Amino acid sequence: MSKLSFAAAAILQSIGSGAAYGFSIMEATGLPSGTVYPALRRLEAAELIKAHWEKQSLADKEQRPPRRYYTITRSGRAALDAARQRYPLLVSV
Amino acid sequence: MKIELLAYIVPRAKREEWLAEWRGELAFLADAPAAQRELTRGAWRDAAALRFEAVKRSFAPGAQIRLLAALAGIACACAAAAAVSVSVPGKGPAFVFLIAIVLLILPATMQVSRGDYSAVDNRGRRGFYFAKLALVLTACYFAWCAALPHVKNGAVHATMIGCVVALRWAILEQRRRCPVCSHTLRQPVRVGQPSYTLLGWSGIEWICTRGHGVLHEPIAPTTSFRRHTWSRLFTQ
Repeated sequence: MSKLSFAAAAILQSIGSGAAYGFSIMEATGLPSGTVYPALRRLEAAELIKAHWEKQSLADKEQRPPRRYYTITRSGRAALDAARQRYPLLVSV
Repeated sequence: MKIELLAYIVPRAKREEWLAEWRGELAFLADAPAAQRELTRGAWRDAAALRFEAVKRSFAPGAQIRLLAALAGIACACAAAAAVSVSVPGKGPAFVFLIAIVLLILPATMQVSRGDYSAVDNRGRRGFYFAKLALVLTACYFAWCAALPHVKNGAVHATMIGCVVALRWAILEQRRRCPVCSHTLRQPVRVGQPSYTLLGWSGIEWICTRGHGVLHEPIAPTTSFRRHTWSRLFTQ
């Protein structure tokens, strides 16, 4: 994934700045769920982000199913820097 | 729609994890059914995207051969079941004759020139091509055997049309593959105009996204550019 679309770059930026799971990414970017989740799969396949599951004990404590968290990888950071140059308005998203 | 139902769209290997993630996401909106429905629309697109990716992967050479072999196997089983009730003699020679007619019809439906692949050694590609043709014809033969006892009129014509369609698909599908890695060529680009064929060539260029080369395919074959030609992009 050499060039990211604006939506993918916005998602990557939101993950890089702390939004860690699908719903929080949707809230941070304002993008609909139909865009966010398929983009997360593509970013994960391109190894720009990686996913891990929340500990079951933490989810049990809050009486909800465990969440899948996303973190940005080193190559993801490099792709995000390139995307910021390509989309100057990305910083304000 | 229930998320559990949508999970059936997702390929089996990823289904459980996908379902767990979406259950985790939907738990945020347990008190807001309208918002939950809105979020589930995204689940539909997510599931469809995963299935689409899986279908795209199934066009890989190995997966395609396995799929065709399974199809031929199913047709064979159907033919064996049909042969138990009624046995039709002389099916083999009749099918060979039918294929001979199909081979005469085929050039009228498409361009069947071999193409210029001199820039690349494509022995491995030929093996895949012949395996594909053999499996397609095997499937057609057994489908014909299965249909013969049940269909009184038109079985020969239907099989003939089926064979033309199947062979045409196999030939065109093979043409749209990279002769180096056998992956599907992408990003077709129209070049030139058919009315300017005397000044330049008009056709479609397909590229191998792995960087192996470009296929030049003429729209209207001319004396100067009669058949599809492969040119390498880099020296492998």
